[in-house]
Amino acid sequence: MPDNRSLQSNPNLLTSSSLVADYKVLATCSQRYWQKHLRQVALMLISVAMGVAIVFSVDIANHSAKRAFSLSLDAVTGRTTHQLSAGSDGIDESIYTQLRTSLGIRQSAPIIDSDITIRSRSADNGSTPVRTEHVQLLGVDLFAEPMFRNQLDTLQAGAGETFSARQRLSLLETGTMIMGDTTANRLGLALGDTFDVISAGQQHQVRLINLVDVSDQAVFDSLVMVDISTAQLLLNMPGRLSRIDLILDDQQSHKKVVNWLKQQQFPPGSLVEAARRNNALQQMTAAFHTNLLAMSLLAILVGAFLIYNTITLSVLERRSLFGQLRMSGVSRRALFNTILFEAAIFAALGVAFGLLLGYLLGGALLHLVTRTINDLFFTLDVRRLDVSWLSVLKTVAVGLLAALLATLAPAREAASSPPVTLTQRSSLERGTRGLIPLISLTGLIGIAAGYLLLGAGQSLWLAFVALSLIVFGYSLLIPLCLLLITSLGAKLSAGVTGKHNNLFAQRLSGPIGQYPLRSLSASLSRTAVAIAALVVAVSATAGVGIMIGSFRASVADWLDESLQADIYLRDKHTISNPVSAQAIDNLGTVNGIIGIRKTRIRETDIEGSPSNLLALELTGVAQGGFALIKTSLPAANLWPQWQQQTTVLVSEPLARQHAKEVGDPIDILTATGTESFTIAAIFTDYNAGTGLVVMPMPQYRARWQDSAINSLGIHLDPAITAESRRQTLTTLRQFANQNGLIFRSNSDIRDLSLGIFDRTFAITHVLRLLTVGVAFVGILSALLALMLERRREFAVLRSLGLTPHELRRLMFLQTGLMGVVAGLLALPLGVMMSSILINVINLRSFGWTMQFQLPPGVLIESLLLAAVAALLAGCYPAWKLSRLSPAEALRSP
Amino acid sequence: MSFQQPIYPTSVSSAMRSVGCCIFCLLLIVGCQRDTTENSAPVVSLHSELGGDATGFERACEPVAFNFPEDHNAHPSFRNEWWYFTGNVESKSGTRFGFHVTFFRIAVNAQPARDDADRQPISAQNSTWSASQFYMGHFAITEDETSAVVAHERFARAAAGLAGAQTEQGQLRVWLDNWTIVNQQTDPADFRTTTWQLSLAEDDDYLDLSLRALKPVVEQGIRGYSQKSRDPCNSSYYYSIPRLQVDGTISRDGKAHKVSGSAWLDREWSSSALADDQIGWDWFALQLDDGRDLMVYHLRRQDGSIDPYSYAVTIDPDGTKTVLPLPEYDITRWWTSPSGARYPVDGSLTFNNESNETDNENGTVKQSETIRFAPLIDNQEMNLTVRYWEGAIKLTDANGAAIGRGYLELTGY
Repeated sequence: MPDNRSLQSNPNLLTSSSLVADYKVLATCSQRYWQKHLRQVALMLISVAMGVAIVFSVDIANHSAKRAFSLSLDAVTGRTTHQLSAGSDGIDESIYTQLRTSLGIRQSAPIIDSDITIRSRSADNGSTPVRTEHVQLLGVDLFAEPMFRNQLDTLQAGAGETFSARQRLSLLETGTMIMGDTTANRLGLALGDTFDVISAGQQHQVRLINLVDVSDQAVFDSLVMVDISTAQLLLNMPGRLSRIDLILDDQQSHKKVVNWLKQQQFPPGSLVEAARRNNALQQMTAAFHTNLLAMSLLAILVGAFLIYNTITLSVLERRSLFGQLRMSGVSRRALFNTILFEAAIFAALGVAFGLLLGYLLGGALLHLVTRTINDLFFTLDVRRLDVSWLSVLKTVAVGLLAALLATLAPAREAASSPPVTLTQRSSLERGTRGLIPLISLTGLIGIAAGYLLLGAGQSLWLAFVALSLIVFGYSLLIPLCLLLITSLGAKLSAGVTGKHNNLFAQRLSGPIGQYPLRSLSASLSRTAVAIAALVVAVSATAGVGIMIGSFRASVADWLDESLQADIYLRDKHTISNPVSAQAIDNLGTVNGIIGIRKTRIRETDIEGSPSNLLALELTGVAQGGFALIKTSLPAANLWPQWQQQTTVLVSEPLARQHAKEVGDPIDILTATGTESFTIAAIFTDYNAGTGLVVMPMPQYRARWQDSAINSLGIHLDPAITAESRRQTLTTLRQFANQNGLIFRSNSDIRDLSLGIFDRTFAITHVLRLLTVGVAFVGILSALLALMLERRREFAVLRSLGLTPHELRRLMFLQTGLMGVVAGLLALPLGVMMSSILINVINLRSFGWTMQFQLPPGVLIESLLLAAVAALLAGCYPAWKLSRLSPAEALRSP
Repeated sequence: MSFQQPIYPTSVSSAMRSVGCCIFCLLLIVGCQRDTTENSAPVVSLHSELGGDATGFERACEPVAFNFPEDHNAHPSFRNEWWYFTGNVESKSGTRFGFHVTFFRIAVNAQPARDDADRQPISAQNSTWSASQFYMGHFAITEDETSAVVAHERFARAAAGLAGAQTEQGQLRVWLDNWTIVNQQTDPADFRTTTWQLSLAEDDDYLDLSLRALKPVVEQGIRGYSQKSRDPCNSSYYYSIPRLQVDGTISRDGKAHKVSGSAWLDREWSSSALADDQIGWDWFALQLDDGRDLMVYHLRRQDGSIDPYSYAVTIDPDGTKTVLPLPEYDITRWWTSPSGARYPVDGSLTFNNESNETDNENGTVKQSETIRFAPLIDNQEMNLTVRYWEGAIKLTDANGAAIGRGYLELTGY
C-alpha cells in the first residue's frame, strides 16, 4: 500500500466509520463516472474479454487435444507394463501362442492396431448419403482383454441394457465390430447395420454388434474394437500381430520373458516398457502446445495495455474530482483501493465474458489444433471440447492479474499525488514525462535481460520468458521513441517549409499542421500506451509472419533438394505397404529411365526410442535426396561412395534430440540386435515426429533379410525428346495403375507438401489476426478517450474557424500518424521476435533450423495493417467529433 | 487367490456336470450370479436364455457306439463337452488334498452366420484366430489343514493354438494356455495302460499328476446315452473312468507335496439343455474302500422335488456297472458361504435294493445301505465366474466308520 505510513500518522482517518464514509462517497463517484462513460466500459470489457477469450480458447483446445490423446493412449495401454513388438511389420502370432502355452505367461494380450476408414453404405434408394470416418482400430482377444483394459466391462447394449455374454461373445465372430455411439451417429449407423471398412487397399463389410456410450468410455469417440481375427483380415496381415501387451509385474516373469526372447534370438529392445513408449509419443506434441499457449499469452499482454489505457484515462478525467475528494479528507488508501476495485470489477466482467467467448472460439481452434497434429504427428480425432476447472482457473487468474497489474500504476498515480496537484490538468502528463528516462532505462534492462536469458539454457519456457521480457522492454521504450519521432517530425516539417515555400509546406508548418504531431507527444500517457499496444500486436504479426515466411522458404528449398527424382511411386494406400518386387523388375524395361531411387521404410528403436529407419538404394544417376547440413562425406561422388559404407545419415531433429554430431555413434535396433553405427552426415528434415535415420540398402538387407521396397523415385533422361518423354510418362502411369501405386511428379509432391505446410500454420495465422483484433479495440478505445478528453480543445479549434470537415481530417491525420508510427516501431521488434522464433524457439521445440529471410511483403503488410487499423479505429471518433457542438463543449466542465 | 478379475465372458457356470445341461446357455447368465445375493437369479436367467440354440449342432438322441481312444478326443459337432477330473489324495506326511480339474469346450456358433446374402463376409478361414468355440479351464485344490479352497479359471479361444484338443503320435493333448491334459493308452487291449497326465499351474499353485486307470471305461445311462429329461434329445453322451490311481505333486501357495490317491474322470458331450423346471443338481462320485464306486446325481426341480431323470449307478471292482434305484437323500447340515449361498454339505444317501437280490461276494449293493457324507472342509465353494460348490467329501457308514472318499458337486444354490 502506498499510503500506509501516512495513514498511521493520521489517526483520525483510521476510524472505521470514516473509512466506510470514504468508500461510500467513492463508490457513488465511480458509479456516476462509469455510468456516463459506458462506451469506455464496453471497450475495456471487449478488450479484456478478447484477450481472455484467446488465452482460454487456446488453453482448452490444447487441453482437449492432449487429453484425448492421453486418454486414447491410456485406454489402449491399459494395465500393460511391457510391449513386445518387432517394428512396422508387426510380430508373428505364433510368438503369442508360445508365450501362453510353452512359457505360461498368462498376462499377455495380442493387439492389432491401425488407422482405418469406415464408410457407411447408402440406402438402396440413395436417400442416405454415404459418410466416412477415420478411426483407430483396436483388434483384441476378448478373453485376454479384461486383464489389460476395462473397455469391455462397461459395454452397454443400446439403451442402458447390459451387454450380455452372448453379445460379448459375438465379437468372436469374424466381421463384427463395436463402436462408440457418437461415431455410429456420425455415420448414421444403427446396431446390426453393415458397413464398409477400407484399409490396406481393401474394402470389407463389417457388422455393428454393439454401441458404446461415449460419455462412459470417451476413448470410443475415435476408436472401434474388433476381434483379432477380424483385424487380421481387415488389415490384410495374416499371421501377424501389431504387438503383444504384457503385464510383467514381478521380477520373475520379467526375467523369464527376457531370457526366452534371448533364446528365440529376438533382437534386444523388442520388449519396451509401455510407459516409456507413451511418454515419447506425448513428448512429440509438447512443443507445439507450448508454442500455441505462448502466442495466446501475447493477446493478454495486449489486453493489459488496454486496461492500463482506459483506467489511466479515467483517472485523468477524474483528477479534479479526486483532488477535491482528497481535500475533503478521503484517504489515499481509499482512493487507491477504489481504482483497483473498479478495475477488478471490469476485469471480472471481462473475464466472464471472455470465458464464454473463448469457449465458442475453442471449438474452432480445436479443429485447427487437431488438424495440425494430424498433419504433423499422428492421427488424432478430437471432437469434444474438454473444459477443465484448471483451465478456467488459470485463465481467470491470468486475466485478473493482468488487469490488476495494469491498474497499479494509474491507481498509484491518483492516490499518491497531493490534493492540490491532482486538480491541475497537466500534472499527470508532466509526471509521465518525468518518468520517461526511468521507464526507458527499465525497458533497456528488460531487453538486455531477455537476450541474456536466451543464452542461459535450452529450456523452451525460458525462451518464452526471454521473448516476453524483450517485448515488454521494447514497449517501455515506446514513449521515448514517440517523443523523439515527434520532435524529429517537427524539425523536419520546419525544415521542409524552409526550403519549399508552397501551400503544402505552409500547411504543414502552420499551427494546425504541427498540431497532430505535437498533440501526440502532448498526451503521451495515453497515446504511448495505445501505440505500444498496437506495436506489440503488429510486431507479433510481423514476427510470426517473418518466421512463417522463412520457414516456408526453407521448406521449399528443402523440398527442391529432396525431390531430385522426376517421378515418385508408392503404394496407393500407405507408405508402409511394399511395392511388388516383380513390378520393380519390370521398371527396368521402360525406356528413358536413367536412375532409380529405392527406399524401404520401417519403424525401429533408435537410441532406445521408436523412430523411422529408411534404407536407401540408388541406381544410375539417382541422387540421395537429402539436404546435408553437416557431413564428413566427400562432396565428389558422394552418394555412390556412401552406398559402400556402413555409416548412416541422421535427421537434424533426431540428432538434436539425442545430442549427436557427425562422427558420433548411434544405436539402432536391427533384426539381429542393437548395433552402433557411425553418423556420416546430418540432414535437414522438416517432418515432425520421431526423426529419421538413413542407411545404405545393402547394410539394411544384411540385417533384416528384407528385400521389400516401399517407394521408388525415378529419374528420367533429360536428353530425350518431348515425345518420348510423354511416352515414358504414359508407360509409368499405366505401370502405376496396374500395380496399385500412386504416381506423383516431384512438383505434385512439392505442392502437396507446401499445402500441408500452409494448413499447419493456419492456426498461427488465426491467432495473429485475433491479436490484431485486440489491438484494434485498444486503438479505438484510446482514440475515443483522447477525443473525449480533448473535446474542449477541439471546440476551441472549431470556434477559431475550423470546419467539421477539417477537424475530421485532422483527426484522421492524427490517427493515421499514430498507426504509421506504431507500424514503424513494430518493425524492429517484429524482426527481433522472428529471429528469436526462428533461431531459438523453433529450434528448441522441433529441432528445425531454417534460413532467416526478411520478405519485404511482410514489412509492408505490417505497416499497412497498423495504419489501417488506426484509421479504422479513428473513424468513429472522427465522425463523433465532427458533430461536436462547440458552444456546448466549451461550456461543459 | 490372486486371480484376475473376470475373464470373458463374465459368467460361465461351470457347475453343469454330469447333467446334460448346456454350458453355453449358462454362459448367458451375465453377471447375474455375481450380483445377486441369493441363488435364484442365475437359474431363472438360465432358463430364460434356453431356446432353439441347439440348431445346427449334432444332438444326442439315441445310443451310439463309443470308440477309444477316438472318443477321448473332442466332439466339435456338439455344442459343449468336458473332461472332468476329481480326486482325493494324501501326502506322505498325511495331509489330505482334494483336487478337481476341468476343461470345458464351448461352441459359440454351430457355424458362423453366413446367411446374409447382401453381405460379403470376410472369410473365417483366412485368420488363424477365427473361432466358433472356446475352452474354459478350472482347477481347484482343497487342503484339509487350511480352511479354504483355491480355485483358478481360464478362458481361451479354440484357435491360434491357444486351446484345443488334438491327437498327435498316439497322444491326446487337451490344453488351454499352459494347462494341459495328456492321455495315452500304450496297449489298446489293456485299460490299465491308460494314463492321463494333468499339468496345471497358476501363481503359486500347481498340479502335476499322473493318473492311471484302475477300472475300464464305464458307459453311463444306456450304453453311454444319458437322457436328462423327457425329450429324448435332451441328452448327453457320457462315460466315466470311475477309479484312477494318482501319483504326483500338488503345490499349494508355493509349498509342494508328493501325493498319491485316487481320482474319477467324467467325459460328457451334448448340445441341448435342461428342462424348464430343472434348477440345478447334486452330484456324488463315491469311491468306497471295498472297491465299489458309486455315482449319483439328483436333478432338482423348481418345486423342490427330485426329477425322475436323476440317476444312480454302482461299479464293481471289476468294472461291472449296475444302475440303481434313486437313493433316499437326507440333508443334516447346510453351510452358508460368505457369498450368501446355502449348500447341503452334510447328509446321507440310503440305497434300497428293490430287486430283492441276495448280497453276493462281489459286493453289489446290500438290501439297504446308508452312506453318510461330510465335507473335508466346509468352504469348497468355487467363487469363479459362476459360483458353485465342488468339494472333497469323507464317507462313513451308518455307524460312523470311515468307508471311503468322494467328491460332491452342488449347483443352482
